[in-house]
Amino acid sequence: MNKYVAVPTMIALLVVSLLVVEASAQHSPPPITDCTYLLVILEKAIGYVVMGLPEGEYIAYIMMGTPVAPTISDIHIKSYRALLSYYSIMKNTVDSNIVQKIYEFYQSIDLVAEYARKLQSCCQDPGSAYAIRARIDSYLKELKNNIENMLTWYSTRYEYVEVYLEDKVYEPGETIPIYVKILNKTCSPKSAVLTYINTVFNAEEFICIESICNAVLRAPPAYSVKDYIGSGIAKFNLVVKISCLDGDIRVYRFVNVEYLYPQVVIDVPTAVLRGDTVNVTLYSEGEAVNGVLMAKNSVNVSVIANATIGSTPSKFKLLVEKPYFIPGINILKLCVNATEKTLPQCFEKPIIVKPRYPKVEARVLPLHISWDGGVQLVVTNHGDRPLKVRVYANNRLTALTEIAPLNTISLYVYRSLLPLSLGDIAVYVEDSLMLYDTYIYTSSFTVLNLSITIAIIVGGLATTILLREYEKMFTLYLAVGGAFRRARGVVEAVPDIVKDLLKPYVLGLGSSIAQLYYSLVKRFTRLPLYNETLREHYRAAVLSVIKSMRGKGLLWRLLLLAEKDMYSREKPRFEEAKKLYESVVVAEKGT
Amino acid sequence: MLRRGRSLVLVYTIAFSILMTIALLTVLPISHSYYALDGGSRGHSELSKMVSTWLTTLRVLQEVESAKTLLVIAREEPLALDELEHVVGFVKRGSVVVFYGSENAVKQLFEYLGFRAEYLGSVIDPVFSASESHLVLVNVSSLNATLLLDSPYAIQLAGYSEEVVVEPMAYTSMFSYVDSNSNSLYDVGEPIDSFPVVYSIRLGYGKLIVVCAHGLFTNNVFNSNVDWLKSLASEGDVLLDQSWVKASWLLYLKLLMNTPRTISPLYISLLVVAVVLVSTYVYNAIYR
Repeated sequence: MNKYVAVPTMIALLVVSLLVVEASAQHSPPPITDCTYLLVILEKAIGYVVMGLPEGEYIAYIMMGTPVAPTISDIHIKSYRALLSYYSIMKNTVDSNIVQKIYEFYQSIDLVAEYARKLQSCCQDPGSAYAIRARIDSYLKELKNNIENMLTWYSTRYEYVEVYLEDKVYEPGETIPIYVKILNKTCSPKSAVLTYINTVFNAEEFICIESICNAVLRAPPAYSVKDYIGSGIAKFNLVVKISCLDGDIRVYRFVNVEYLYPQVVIDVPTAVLRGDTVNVTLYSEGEAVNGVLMAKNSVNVSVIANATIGSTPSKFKLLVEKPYFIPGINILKLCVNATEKTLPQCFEKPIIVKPRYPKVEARVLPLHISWDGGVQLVVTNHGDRPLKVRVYANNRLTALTEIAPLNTISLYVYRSLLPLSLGDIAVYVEDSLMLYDTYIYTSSFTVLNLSITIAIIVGGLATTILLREYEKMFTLYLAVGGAFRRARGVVEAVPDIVKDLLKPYVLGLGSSIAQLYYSLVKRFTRLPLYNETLREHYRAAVLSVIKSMRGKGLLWRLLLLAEKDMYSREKPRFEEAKKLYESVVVAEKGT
Repeated sequence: MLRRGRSLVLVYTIAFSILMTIALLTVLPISHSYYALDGGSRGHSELSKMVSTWLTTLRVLQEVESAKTLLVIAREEPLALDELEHVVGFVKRGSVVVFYGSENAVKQLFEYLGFRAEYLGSVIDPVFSASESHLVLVNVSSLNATLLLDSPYAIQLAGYSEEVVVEPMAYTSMFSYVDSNSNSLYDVGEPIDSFPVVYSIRLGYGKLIVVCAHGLFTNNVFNSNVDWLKSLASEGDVLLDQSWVKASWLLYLKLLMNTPRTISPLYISLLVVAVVLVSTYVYNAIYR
């Protein structure tokens, strides 16, 4: 297949596949990912289930087929299937397997509770969702109670055996005697099994003497149920398996066991000073427990010691040192392990650690006037141990040194090449043995660099003087600069500029006699150029065109009068110049 | 001679460019909600294939035979007072009017009829929705039919009128909720229930069906609701209100260039002018 066929075919296939996907997705709702919504719908469904209303079945049926986020899809389907199974049990109570079905539903209630917990954890606002979950838990507890009663009632309907169990709350590890009276000779009890959420904790065979059989189970110890059960009364399922001639049957009962947390007291001062040794007293109000003592703060968690805590108070000496403790609030945490009777538990006691700083003094002047622009820092160690000094000027590490006990050091920590500058300094004085907290000193300073300042002043003055001497050149330079900006050549531009500059001189600086002289000269020859004095012009251009000697003499006199009128304080009279003008005209006419 | 020839070419070029501009403006698609020529999701191009005509003014309703006519009005902005009078008068004479659009337009219609209407928020149904959660399926119990509404919303009605009888006609499912804060997520406290979103209002001899949704016969949901439209229209004509397009000259011009089912005379005129221009240019070019 060549490319002229392949490319359009691929595009066509792509378009068709997209259309097919779109068409198939047209009427299927997208998976629901809004956990709050799912949680509220679950609450509604369970509420209807507890009240026995058919709406619960409808919601469960619809929700079971509604797609949700993949992470909760499995438990979502199982939970609603469990709720649906409740309605199926209610509709068919004459089923021979009814007890087994009720028991299975009873087991699945915990799954629904787990689903509610999962939904609450993925809600956008778990705090608000907590109330909904609490209501769901309450509904489920009520449902569980109903199912327990139902299960017991259906179990006692059997005419083959009678099961006796003491109705009490057991302690962990306590023995649970179970008696079975055989009513049908074809039956014999096989085993008694204690379970919790599908986990078997204990199982025993029955021993029979005539028609009375007994088995002794033990209430599971706290350390074996610590991952499943919290403090309070836990309800275990007791399943008695009975073998009869026409099949096996199971009888269900419930065993209550109460689990408690240990009672441990931590006695420690609420405020301590860094480096001090404090006494920590620990004792248990119940049985002896083993635990770990830890120090916890915002930076880390450190194990301090393992401890066995009994009813007799045990005392620990605790050195409040780095890095276990930081200045401020620290938590002394004791976590005790589970025992047979008690569940694991952690106890916390806050301690405020007051900092202890080394005896040190750092000082920097707010204003520094120096020839080199340097800033001097003085650090004095009044203590009896060496200390590390780190100095940051404008957030840059500028000094790292050690200071001996009872010593003073002087550090140049900043050098400015500007005439005037501002800066910040931060000094960290640390104890290498970590017994003291870090002493921090911060300050701002101003630096005046004298040498640079004087150099700038002198340079500025010199430049000013030079520019004053060469004012015209400077003006010319500026003008040429302007000419450059107009994109003209320097060679062409300079004469024009000089011409412009000298224009007032060429025009006679406003002298009327000079104007008269120019008007006369103009009659015979050209006017003076911008780079020509009147006298040069007279010699170069006038003498050759004035024919009579008298005329030349008169014109020279008129030139002298014009010069005088332009440059001298003593101005000549205009009438005199006018007479000379007329005389020159007459003399030239005569020639 | 050469100069004259050049000026003629210039005239032809300008005239042809103007024609091309008009043609492009009218041919190129424009996206605008409820516009009869808009092929987008909120457009009415699918509906316009079914309608007998579209109305560029609601005054003509006085002359339309009511008994056999279904009028579809969809609005972003509320109707003007005189438009409301025309619509209510048209219904009273025995016709069926289906009204949907923005919450402001629907609220104003209810208030004109003498009710207090309060907007509660958009209705989201994550369970009974189509490809997107804002496309919500609702059940019309009286017809045993299901409609697909685009972005429905809940309106709480209060008040009573002896002349006007309002009956809820379709509800969302019990899995729907009112998104009061419009964040498209369920928040604790937002009501979850069935909400009435289609109301039937009997006025005189006719019926006004108010749909609290942004789309009912718009392109994105048209195919799902076309059967209901046909059942409402039975054998009569279907009219589509497009009187609001006058606010935009471009929309109006495009509408004038097109008519439902036939070709617009204005379009033919422009086409003829274009052909004449090209022909004369070719003729001149050959015989010169």
